[in-house]
Amino acid sequence: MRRKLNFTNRKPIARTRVQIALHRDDGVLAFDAEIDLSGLKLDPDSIVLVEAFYRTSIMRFPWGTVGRPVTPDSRSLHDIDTDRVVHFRIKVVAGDGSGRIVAMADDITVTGGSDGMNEMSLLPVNFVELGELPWRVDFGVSGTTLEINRSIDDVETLVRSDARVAGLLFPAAAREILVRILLVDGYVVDEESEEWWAGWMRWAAAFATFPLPAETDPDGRLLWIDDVLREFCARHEFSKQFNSTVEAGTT
Amino acid sequence: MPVLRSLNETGIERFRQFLRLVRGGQSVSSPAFTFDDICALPVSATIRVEQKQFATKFEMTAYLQRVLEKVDRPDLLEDAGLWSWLALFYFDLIAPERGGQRRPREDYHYILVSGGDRASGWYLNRHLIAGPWELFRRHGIHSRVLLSGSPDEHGKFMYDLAWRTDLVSNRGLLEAVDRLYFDEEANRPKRGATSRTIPGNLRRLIAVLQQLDFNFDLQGMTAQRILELLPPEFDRWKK
Repeated sequence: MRRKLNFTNRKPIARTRVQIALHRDDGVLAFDAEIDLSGLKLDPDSIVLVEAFYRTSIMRFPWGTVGRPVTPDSRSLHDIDTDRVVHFRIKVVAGDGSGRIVAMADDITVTGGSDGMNEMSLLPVNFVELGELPWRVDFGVSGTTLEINRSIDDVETLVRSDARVAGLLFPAAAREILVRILLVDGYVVDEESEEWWAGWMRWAAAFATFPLPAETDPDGRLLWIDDVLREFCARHEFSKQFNSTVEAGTT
Repeated sequence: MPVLRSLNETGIERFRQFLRLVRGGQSVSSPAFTFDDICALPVSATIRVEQKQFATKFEMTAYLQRVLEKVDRPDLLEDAGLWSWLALFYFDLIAPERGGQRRPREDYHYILVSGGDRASGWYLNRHLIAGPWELFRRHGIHSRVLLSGSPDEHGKFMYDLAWRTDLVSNRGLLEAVDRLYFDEEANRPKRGATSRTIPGNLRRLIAVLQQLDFNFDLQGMTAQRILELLPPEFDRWKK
């Protein structure tokens, strides 16, 4: 069971306090961020840092202190090894030199679309080279990414607008993620947690028709995952949409 | 000494065929198309690369860094043809004969899957030349403990540490790992570092670091500061 002890009383920073948007400066990915730390009772001398990362690439941006926030002039993400999905975390570190994190937001994933729009989502989609593998779920430290093989013809349009593709992909990806959270890694489910898996559990709980069985009942948990996905698919009417798309394509 | 080359599409397809032949039991080494202009074009007429024996991935990547620093291109890791050619050039080293037979791994250990997307990190990590070189480029001398295995294997340090993206991006942390587990005199990892039973082993370190990372800004710390945070079970490794 993975349980990280909060022995330094680190405070969570709710995601609603952070707004991050991606854009391009001369073709290079960059970001804007608004961080609201008011009312968290943090020491005004504590240091605020924004970390942007994807896989092994990381950039850190000093953001002043809690009492005197300073937005850095350059927010270019030129060292981040992606051109679409970027993970962010906000760290507030004690100003006493100890390196102790006093508050943090740790699961912020931002997707930059080709249309200039961007979104913070539970399962961002990234189009990458995957050899002959059509898709996979990438489990990063800050969350999950649905990676789609970009060598498939017109794949971005297919994923975004073809209900059949969404109906085939997303329930399977969600099942893999929930199995990983509940049965492989055995993450502790905590409604207050800001970790990425807690976001998934809140999502799943919105669909479940019965309570999550205890961790000692793995078969029960598999049934619970089935239940969540059945409800999720029912609400989105995936099979009905599948049929109507097929009919539309044949007429 | 041959010039450094990069496989084109024809060359990469020939390399795939070559791997199939080897898997089929044919004992072939240094196929002629390695130096055939139809399959492999010179990167530069003046940059040359030597056929050498390297005992470790660290030796190999340190040598390749001296060669590749002459290639004035920021997108070197995206050049699947170059890394695939290097894998072909050093094929005897990264897919050696054992018991009279070669057993190549999956193609992506030799033919880099890149497609011009730097995000293809999963494949990059597993390419037997590009992956280690990227670690050497990022961490220099402090990558030696990660790259201490022979060039044909990934090794426990790679499996347990180098592919954990949250840890391997941290320079101070990699220096701390090097200081803990690398034996300078013997020029190899300290005995027992990857054991599962000796206190303070690599796996324990990773578990402790993942906890510490929750409470401390390890990304902003020096190696010395990270070492000071470790509990007493790691003291024996600090000597």
